[in-house]
Amino acid sequence: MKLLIVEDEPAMLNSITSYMAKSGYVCEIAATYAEADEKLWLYDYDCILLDVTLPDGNGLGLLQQIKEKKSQAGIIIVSAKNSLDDKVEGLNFGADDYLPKPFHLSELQARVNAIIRRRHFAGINEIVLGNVVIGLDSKSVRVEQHFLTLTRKEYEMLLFFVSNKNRVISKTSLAEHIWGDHIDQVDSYDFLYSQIKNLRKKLKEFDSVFNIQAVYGLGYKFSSQ
Amino acid sequence: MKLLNITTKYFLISFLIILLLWSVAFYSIIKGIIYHDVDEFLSNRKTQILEEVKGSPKLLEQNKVVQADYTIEKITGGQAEGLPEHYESIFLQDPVEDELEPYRQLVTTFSTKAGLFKLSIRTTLVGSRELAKIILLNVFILFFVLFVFVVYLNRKLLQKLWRPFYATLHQVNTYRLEQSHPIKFSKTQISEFKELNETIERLIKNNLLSFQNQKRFTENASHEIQTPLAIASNKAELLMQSPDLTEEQAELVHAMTENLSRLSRLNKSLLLLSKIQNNQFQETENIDVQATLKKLFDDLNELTAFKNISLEMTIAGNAVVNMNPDLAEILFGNLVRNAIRHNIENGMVRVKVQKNEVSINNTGLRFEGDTELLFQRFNKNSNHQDSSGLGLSIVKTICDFYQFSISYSVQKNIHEFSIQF
Repeated sequence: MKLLIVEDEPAMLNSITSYMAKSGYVCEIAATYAEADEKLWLYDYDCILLDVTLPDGNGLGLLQQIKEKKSQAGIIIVSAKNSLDDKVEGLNFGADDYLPKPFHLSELQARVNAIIRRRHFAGINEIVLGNVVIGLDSKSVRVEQHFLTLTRKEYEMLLFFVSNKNRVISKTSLAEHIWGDHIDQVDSYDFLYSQIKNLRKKLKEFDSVFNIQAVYGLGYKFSSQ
Repeated sequence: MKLLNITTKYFLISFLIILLLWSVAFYSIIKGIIYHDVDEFLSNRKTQILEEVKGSPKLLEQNKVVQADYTIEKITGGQAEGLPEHYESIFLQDPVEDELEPYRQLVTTFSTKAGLFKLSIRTTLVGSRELAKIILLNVFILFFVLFVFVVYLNRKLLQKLWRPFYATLHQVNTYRLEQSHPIKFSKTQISEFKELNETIERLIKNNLLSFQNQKRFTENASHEIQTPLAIASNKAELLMQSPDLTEEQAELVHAMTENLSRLSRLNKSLLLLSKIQNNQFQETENIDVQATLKKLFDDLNELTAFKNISLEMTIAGNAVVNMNPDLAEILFGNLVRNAIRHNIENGMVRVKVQKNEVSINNTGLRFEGDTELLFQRFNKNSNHQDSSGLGLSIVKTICDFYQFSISYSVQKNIHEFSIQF
């Protein structure tokens, strides 16, 4: 999987590349509009992370070019402006998703995965991880032949864990993923804890290879036993 | 009290006083003139009668002579001394109509060879009285007509002269700083109003400037904070992945991520506030409040089930509001989440939807704070450390933006927020 990360802030670029590379993505970087423009002409990517505020132009301009090229790349707009206009305009120009800064890397990872799944696995809508099979169309989860009954939140959580497998996920990023951008009132880690406990129990019941591990003091990790 | 009513009141009072004084004065003047006239007539008559009496001394042979308009009585010298010539107003019985009628009488004495006599000459005042009445009545009518005219004129003048004032008042009333444009009043020729308008314009311009500065500052600060915040939290997340963190280090990293998240939520809220005030949520559509709440309930039911809080919705009418869909979601989301957050074990949240009103009730602990400050920024209930204290402030800002009215009340640990559209 090849990613193009268009971002003018070196420190940002660094973190994203480092996190994504560990998931097995090949990351190319562009720090300016011109650089991104050139790379987009020369190569094909599976997913493009696009910061709209670039020193030499508006990232939204690149969107049109990507569309003209009839590229298959999924596009996620990353914006520090957190502005609705960017979001609406970006999605109108054909971006697949919009992620306002600041974001959790685990959240970015989940979004990139979701887009790549949509783009590349049309028809084969299944994620297989060890003996866990997630049916994305039917929103069903089975361990080998045993179907699990999950609540919607448990399902969302599992998907998030799967996207960030073998990574330490902080409680906050998990909570924010589950509750969305519900600024301020992200409630109750107790609830989250009970959901995780249930999910873990359900996976364990049928001897799933992968399960949720608590990482002391930090959060959780989805990994094989 | 309206200006018009006040002026009318003062006109009425002063007119009544003038009318009263004037009618008293006018009455005495008229009376004076009439008496003067009548007395002159009586005096002439006296000369006539005395001539007559002198011409026919036989008349005086009786003790009392009664004629149609005078009587002559014989009196003694002593009586005559206490009786100087004078005019008096008296009432006499009218034999025809059998009622008392006013008369004017001249009483005088005279002496002849036959002795001392008292002469009383009378004339009726009925005619003059009628005249006075008619005059007074007309004066009243004149006053009344004048009064009506003055009130009418006053009303018309007020309407015309004060029009710029009322226009200004209306503009100031409907003006909101959030609209971000200076106020412009229509031209007026009246210098006082011109001055008033200029003063208000200046005042609002200054206010607007500081409001915009403040807004710009919040917005810029939030924007500038975002990138370093993003970098810091991403670095912390990367640090979290490092396999050889000690427990102690892990705890430090955890505290770091927690607080960075809190900071970024806070920052997002502040940005949201300034965006609402900057009118950056322009697209509106008709929002079905019931559907929005239902979606919200669906989203929250796992959480409420976990907390053992019952969610109920009563529909008493179909509420459709024209507003921005994102803001609608934030508005109702914040209120419902607030109701869940400040709830108690086995509590309830009850939402009632009416045509122009939505009220959200919840059980909760006693609210120990100033309800006036409830909607203010960073006014938080100390129980909830992780709350940013901006949720209700956002609610209030959205309500203000759309001119909904929102109120809070509490009764026996049941808290209620209600919004009128």
